[in-house]
Amino acid sequence: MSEWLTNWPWWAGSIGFAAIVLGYWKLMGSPLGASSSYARVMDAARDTETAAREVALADPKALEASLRAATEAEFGGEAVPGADAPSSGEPAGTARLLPWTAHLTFLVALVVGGFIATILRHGGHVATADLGPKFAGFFGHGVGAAAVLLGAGTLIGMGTRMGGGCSSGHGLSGCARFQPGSLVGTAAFFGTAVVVSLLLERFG
Amino acid sequence: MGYYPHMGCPNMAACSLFPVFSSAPFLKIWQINYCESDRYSRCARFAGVCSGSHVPSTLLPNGKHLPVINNPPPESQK
Repeated sequence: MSEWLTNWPWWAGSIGFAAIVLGYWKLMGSPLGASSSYARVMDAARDTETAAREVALADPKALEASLRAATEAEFGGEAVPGADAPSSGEPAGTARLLPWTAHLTFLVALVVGGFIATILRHGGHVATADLGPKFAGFFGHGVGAAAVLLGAGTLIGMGTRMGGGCSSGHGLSGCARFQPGSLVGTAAFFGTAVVVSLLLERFG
Repeated sequence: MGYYPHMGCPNMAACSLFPVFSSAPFLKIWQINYCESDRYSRCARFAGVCSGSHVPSTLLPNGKHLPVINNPPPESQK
């Protein structure tokens, strides 16, 4: 049992990831990705009008009424069944327009989940700057190591935005749905990581 | 972003409104007029993505925003 609280078997983690990303896709109709959620939260911070609109349209009934009104305004009343007279109507949509608060909840849960896993794994010792002997062997400690992490994080952030997604968005959600762009993107960034790791092992 | 008119909008997978337009038959008209074949070139969302500008989740392909209806009609009156 203790192993399940510290290191999951690879197959259990794979099943868990697949259930989450495919379940989210099935339920919400959109891909799940950490960087896209982060972008949505940042967008909400600078575009408060849209953020308020998102919250108002989080209710499925409000969203459907809004979609009906927008469709009628764009294409005319005949495009929307039930717009002119009461009828049996069409089945309500299953897709949701998630507000920024839902994305913020997801991001907070990621941090909280990692925090809990760290506590379980290390017996309460959470705060550590130790990234392992390999990292220390290559990059040392202190300012130099911090500069390497800062540079690496900046490059990853830029690449994520330029590539339209991160390892969760492309690697998990995109690959699980056989999206061509995600397959190529994941092969590129994981392939590069493997090659660089091998080179560091060989010449580092 | 590559342009493949016969495949429809290249932003379909990332667009937050495309799956919404798939959620009910009466919304299919948006996909026909803005997402499929080469018609995505006139979509305001696609234009925003191409220009690198912020694309609000409530922005419709016609450039307007989804309206907020304060009192949506009850289900029986649709």
